[in-house]
Amino acid sequence: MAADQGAHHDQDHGHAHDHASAADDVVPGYFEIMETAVRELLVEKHLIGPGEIRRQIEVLDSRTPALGAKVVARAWVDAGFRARLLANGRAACEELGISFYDDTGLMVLENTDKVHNLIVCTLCSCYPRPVLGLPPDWYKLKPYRARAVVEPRAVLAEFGTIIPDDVEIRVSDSTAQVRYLVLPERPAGTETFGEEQLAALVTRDAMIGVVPVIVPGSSP
Amino acid sequence: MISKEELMRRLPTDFGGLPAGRIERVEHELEPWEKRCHALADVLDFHKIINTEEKRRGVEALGSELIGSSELLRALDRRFCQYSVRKIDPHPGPACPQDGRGRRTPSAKSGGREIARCG
Amino acid sequence: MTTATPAPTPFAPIVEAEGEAPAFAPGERVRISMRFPVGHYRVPHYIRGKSAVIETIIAPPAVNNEEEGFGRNAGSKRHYYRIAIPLSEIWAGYAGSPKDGLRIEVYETWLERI
Repeated sequence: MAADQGAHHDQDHGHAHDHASAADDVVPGYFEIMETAVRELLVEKHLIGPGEIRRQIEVLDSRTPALGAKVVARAWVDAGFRARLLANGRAACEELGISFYDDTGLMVLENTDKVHNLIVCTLCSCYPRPVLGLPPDWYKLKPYRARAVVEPRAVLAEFGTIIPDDVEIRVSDSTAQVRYLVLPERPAGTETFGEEQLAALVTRDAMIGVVPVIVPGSSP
Repeated sequence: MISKEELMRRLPTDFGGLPAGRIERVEHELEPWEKRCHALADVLDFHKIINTEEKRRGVEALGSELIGSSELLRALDRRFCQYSVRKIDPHPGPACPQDGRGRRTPSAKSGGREIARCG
Repeated sequence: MTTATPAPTPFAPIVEAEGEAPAFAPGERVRISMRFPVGHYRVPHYIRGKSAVIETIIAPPAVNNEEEGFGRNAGSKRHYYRIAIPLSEIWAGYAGSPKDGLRIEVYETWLERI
């Protein structure tokens, strides 16, 4: 079965659906074929259903930083929600209809004028996927993972973020079932902004903790 | 004082505190087959065929020369295949196709894309 | 005439399963064991042997994730703890603020009371 699929790919290299990318070479790579082989074998053995991968891709596609931004904006405008979010991040996200498809918990880390939070996974690439989507490459690569727990201030400076010395930096290293999301400080000058406007300001990198939330065009 | 032997037990993925250079703010749009790999790992997890820790252990077992190289995702995919096949069928035949059909191996285009798959 | 309602009989004291009650409480000082197991682990090298303070107990108790890595998803459940360690405690000559700290989750079997 898998071999047939491979032969099919040989001849049908013009089709986009199973190939790396249009810009890539015509023949699918070895590992792409491997993924196909495993998937087909599992379906054939009735260990997974035929549509499950496709469905999970849709789940993953629906998880983007826009979800996290919505959570942050709600916490900025609703003090009760904020308190519930800080007490149990996962339950509060579920209130907003953001389901968690895995067994992870979520702890939301509040930035204040006294504490700045930063998240990392030094051992692998743990990340709050249900609420932010998949992590960027730099988060998974060695320099960030090696240095965030050693010299967070230098790491932040590489992102253009300078934290004053009287502000405590807390680096959270995910090693178990809990994932983290940073609740950035609400920037000044947004007092009249509605929730959607506020959410539009919140970037993925702010929820990792490497940059603050800023109002574009305002002075730093 | 940590002995040399103890130092050798350090996993190749245990990066905290190791010397490292500048953070290159690289990102890339996931290719469809990469998305399928992530989705496959999640689905395997849902079915308890392979759990998060086994995925992590899979990455660790790949060896330090692979970690951080463009070969990681590819080797990882092969490892998933091995683990899944072993659980489905403890005495597998040639279930995973061997490369030998003249396929071009994935190019250096994806160099630096380390995917430490876990959660 | 009133009849006193008898007080409900209290339950006999329950016996908790092994590991069901957390061994440590927030605020307690602990030390991460100086152990170097071969193979899969979830306690990074850089914190081995360091002193820490328990910040939060993670509930509910869970399976040891180091065992889970070998497909052993069962067994007595214990707690994970979110612990706090000053970065100056981890790195000699830490150049940032003395207030800067690490937070990390560690399984109960890796912690010792000090």
